[in-house]
Amino acid sequence: MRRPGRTARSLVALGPVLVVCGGLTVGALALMVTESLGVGEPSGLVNPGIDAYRSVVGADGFVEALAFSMWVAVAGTLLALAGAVTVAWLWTTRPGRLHRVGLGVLHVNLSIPHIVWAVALAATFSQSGWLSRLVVLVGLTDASADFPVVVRDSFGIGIIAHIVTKELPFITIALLPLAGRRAAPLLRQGAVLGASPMQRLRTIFLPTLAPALFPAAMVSFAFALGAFEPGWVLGASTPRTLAVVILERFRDADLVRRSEAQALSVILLSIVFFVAALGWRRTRRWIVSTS
Amino acid sequence: MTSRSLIALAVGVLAAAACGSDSDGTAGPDAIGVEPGSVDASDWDAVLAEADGQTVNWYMFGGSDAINQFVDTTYGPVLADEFGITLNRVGVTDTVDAVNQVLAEQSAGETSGAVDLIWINGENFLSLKEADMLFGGWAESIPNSSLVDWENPAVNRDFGEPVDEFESPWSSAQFQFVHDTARTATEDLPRSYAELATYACDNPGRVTYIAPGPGAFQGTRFVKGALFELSGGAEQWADFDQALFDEWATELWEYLNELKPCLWRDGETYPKDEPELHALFANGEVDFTITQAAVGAGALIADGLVPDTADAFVFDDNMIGDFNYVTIPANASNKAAALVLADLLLEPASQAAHIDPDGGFGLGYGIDPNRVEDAAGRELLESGSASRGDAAADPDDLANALVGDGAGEYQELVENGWRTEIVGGL
Repeated sequence: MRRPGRTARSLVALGPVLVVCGGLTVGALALMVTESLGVGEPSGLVNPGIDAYRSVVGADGFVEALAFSMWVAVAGTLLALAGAVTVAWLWTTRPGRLHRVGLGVLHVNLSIPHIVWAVALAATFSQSGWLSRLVVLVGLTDASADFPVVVRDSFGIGIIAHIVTKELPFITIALLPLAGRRAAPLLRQGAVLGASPMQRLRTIFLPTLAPALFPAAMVSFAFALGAFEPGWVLGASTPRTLAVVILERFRDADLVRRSEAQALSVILLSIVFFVAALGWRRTRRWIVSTS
Repeated sequence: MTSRSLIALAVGVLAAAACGSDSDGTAGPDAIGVEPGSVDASDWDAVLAEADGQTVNWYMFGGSDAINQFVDTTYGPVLADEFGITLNRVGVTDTVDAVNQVLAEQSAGETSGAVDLIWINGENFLSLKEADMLFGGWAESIPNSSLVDWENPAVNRDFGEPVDEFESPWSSAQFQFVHDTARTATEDLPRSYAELATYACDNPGRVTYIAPGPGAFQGTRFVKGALFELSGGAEQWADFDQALFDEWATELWEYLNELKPCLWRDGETYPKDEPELHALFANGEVDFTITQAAVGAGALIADGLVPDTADAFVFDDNMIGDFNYVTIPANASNKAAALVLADLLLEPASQAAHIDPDGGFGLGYGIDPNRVEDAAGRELLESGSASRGDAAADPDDLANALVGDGAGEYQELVENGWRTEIVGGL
């Protein structure tokens, strides 16, 4: 049970942040919706109404682009989540000197802008990249074109690799405080009581991390779905992620296209909300009972 | 607690998604046309007097180091020393950013705009013209406009859209290919789109082109060249005719789809811009890249983007050339200074300097050199032409292959059609 006044105090403390972040977010959201409906655009060029939604949803390839976006975002997030849990598990169960170095690596990765990371991945793994040149140099392949296609490929391998390598550190860092402070002593007790590593992972470690797992995964998913950088730099000409299509249409000289970009943004955001709400319903019992 | 937490989570998620989206709120309600105190370009002394002490904010594509440096070191000092004007070059990643800025100001009712001059392309010119956000009635009044061949349809129409004194030329460009003389012999080069298809299928994976689309007009230009060749000439495309496009579109898509399996990576993906194509070329993955510069491959060699042995070449016909322009928004705060700068760009000395690959940026003349009567100016322009270097295409070949661009409406038809018919997808 909450004591009266605590909520009020929290609101006051959070007030400045809420006003700035909330104001910007709600403002951007309002503009997104109004522009998607063609409201406020130069008259005669864009007609107010739901034309933009009709046009994008009815366009050839909309379903494919949506499916491709979901594929890279879901696969990227799940792999990053699995990787982050593994790192946090190793971190908690195998104390060692490398912890500080590992933490440093994670933080360095987090500080690299997404677009820079995407370009670095492209420069490394594309067929014109330095890795393929190195492989030719040491004689493993005859030409750089023999290097496997992992960048600008139709399965989105490059994009997924980008999401995993950027989101894994983010989720890991979100998990570590719980892993270190709450899971570690419980794991030791579990070990004393004779629980196997798998039992400790399933019944102690994962439930303890649950309050951080879902929100971190959700933020990663929202980012992976909305970020244009990985698709722009590492994606093929087709299929493209919706974020790339949004960017292209938003930057089109034709203002009708801008409305379409905003309509696609609204659709993308609705998906994020839907997934968040669904995920919340499924996991709130976990989160509330353990937080 | 549950609902509050849900709201908190929603706000967090929304903020994360907002970071990844591109809604920067560049337009809003209540769009109005604005035009603050205008200047009269025909009263040049008054323009000079008003410009003295102003800062001209020139928004331009900032992706070329050569152009950035040239602008800062060539025009900046002249404006400061001779006219008392401060040049503030504002680099943008895409010209549409400058257009969005102007449109946002229009929506907000801002009468003292931040943008005084824009280096603009046809599509964005059309956007601003349609939105009634351009300052007009000056381009044929500034002193050096007499050096511009305003009778030439390639000059008085930008992308098929009449210029109507809303913009003034800066330089010119023509689509060309670049090959590596160390890899491909000149006599083996394709000289038409038909020959290119044969070359590509004889050398699988050695040819590609830039994916047409917004921001990648070079790719669109390549495809339009194919359309011109297939349909028997460029002239018929000067005015928009939907029926004409429908008539030839099928053949165009057929040509490109037959070319596709012979292309780099079987046409599964295409480079999205010039730097990507240059990188493939420099790495020896493909045999040709492209350029628009009068100096051919010279500027690319100077920038270290392609091998020293690179050279420009053209097909026998259908190499699209056009002019590029500067324009002044209707709500520009420093119109007088913008006019002085637009005039300075047309000075024979400025033009001769910009074509020079050594220190300039290698694009062609915006003025007609034959209109320059002053002997010193003519000499400068002649030596400028002569300085184009060894990696430039033959001037006669360029002139013989030169055709004007089609009407602006074809741009979107080609881009959308290419996406639907060639790669599929949104």
